[in-house]
Amino acid sequence: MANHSDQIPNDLALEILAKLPVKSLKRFSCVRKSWLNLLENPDFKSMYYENLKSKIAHSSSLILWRLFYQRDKNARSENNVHLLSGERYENMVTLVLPTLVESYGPGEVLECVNGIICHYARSGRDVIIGLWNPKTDEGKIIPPGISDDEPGFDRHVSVHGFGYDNVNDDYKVIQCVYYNYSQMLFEEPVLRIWQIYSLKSNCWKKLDLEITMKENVSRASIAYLNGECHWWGRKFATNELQEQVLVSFNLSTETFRTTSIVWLQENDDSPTRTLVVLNESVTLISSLIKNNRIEISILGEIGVKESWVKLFTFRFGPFPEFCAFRMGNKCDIIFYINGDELASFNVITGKVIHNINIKTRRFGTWIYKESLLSFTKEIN
Amino acid sequence: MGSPVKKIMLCSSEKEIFSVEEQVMVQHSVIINNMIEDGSYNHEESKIPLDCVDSKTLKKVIDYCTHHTHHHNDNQEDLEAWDAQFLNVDSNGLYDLLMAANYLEIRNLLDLIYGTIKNMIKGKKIDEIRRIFNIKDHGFTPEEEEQNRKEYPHFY
Repeated sequence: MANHSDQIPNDLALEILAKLPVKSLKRFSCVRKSWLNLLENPDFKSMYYENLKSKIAHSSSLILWRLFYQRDKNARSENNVHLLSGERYENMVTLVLPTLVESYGPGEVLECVNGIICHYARSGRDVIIGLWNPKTDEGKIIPPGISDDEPGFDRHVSVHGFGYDNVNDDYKVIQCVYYNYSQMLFEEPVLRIWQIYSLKSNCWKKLDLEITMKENVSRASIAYLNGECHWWGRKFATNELQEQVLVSFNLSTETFRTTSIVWLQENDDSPTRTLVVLNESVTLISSLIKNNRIEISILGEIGVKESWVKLFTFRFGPFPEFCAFRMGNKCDIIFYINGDELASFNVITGKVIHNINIKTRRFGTWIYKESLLSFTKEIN
Repeated sequence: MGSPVKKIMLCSSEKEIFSVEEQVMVQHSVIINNMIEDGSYNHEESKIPLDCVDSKTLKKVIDYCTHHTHHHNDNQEDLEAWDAQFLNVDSNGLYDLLMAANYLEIRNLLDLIYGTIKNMIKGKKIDEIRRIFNIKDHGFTPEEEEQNRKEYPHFY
């Protein structure tokens, strides 16, 4: 629109800006001085949140994986996977995933991309990874990765991500095989071998890269977005300080970038962090236990640490220590209260809406869009 | 035979008169719907003056409303293809349509235009976004502008 003589009125321009992903906000703040702090403008804020809500409401249902402790005499734990839908997640369908390892059943869910669930289970020192499409019941067990034993060292496998490589039309899994001196589990590994699996070639390949590994499994999280697997990890620096970084691994180029989250470490409260995807952006939910506060920050541009935008801050709690927060499918956060009961917290209204009648203390959620495509046939 | 289709008269900025099915405009335009409902439009003698909408734009707006009234049962793909063709106009045309849709409060046409402009500015450099919105005075001092350029070189 180069030739029209008049400027688009500001209220109309703001309606348009409110439709764009929040990562564009930093950019708009340079376009016009009056757009510097758009989220502080109540009109813009309400338009923006409305759009956010309607965008997310389109996604049909939510995959929930949970670890569930049976309180019978054997005190067994079970991995359950459910499909939740409805205004209050009242509709629950239990999914029967293929068994990966006899005693662990389907294992844990790692990620859900394009209607395909990637799940894994430990078998001794190895990890068995499976892909499964709930809609078509098509499943595949991925061949084992490259993992030779080294005498004197303990070998561990950590799966870091699953996603779709949109350049090569391929699905890929990235994992790290790492070695510690025997019994020194919490030391920095002495050797790490990164490797990537391609569904198209059905084999693993070593990556000649030094990447920061993800945080301790139960507290860390991973997120797939637009051809990239993201996780956050702790970098061991030479001065024994640890720096937290977001790692973004590109499944097409098989390279990675890091973004510092050092700005989040200003206070002494040690937050529990969850990586999620919100409005097409990498998003970090931090729960600050001592302050009874939750912060939601969105990353504008990968690799640019100045582009983190703090989108919401809520005072609320108390919530349990190390409580993970995940995204629901209606602009809400899912977490557990009262020990082990899942509940949903509305990001826009800032209110705990309701309890979800599911018990767990370890869980994950993924937005699920069903797909009829056969991932093994379409790919080959 | 049903009763004859009720018509209303719309008058463009060039004083050209357009006769349109009442139902078509009532369904789409909040403003016209209000005028009919509160009785301020007299079917015998009134015409609705739209002083800020020129004939070319008004004709397009009427086309849009008519098509979406009579084809709302078409499949989504056909409607989207029609919309894309409809909005295949130059930047002046798009701007005029935006202002007209805003004035007449035609929500679905507004959303369609918003979506088009949204796609135009997605991932664009600062100068291009300013050009699209036709922002002449961005309000930054030369020093502030320089500072922004230094801090976010990838935006420029």
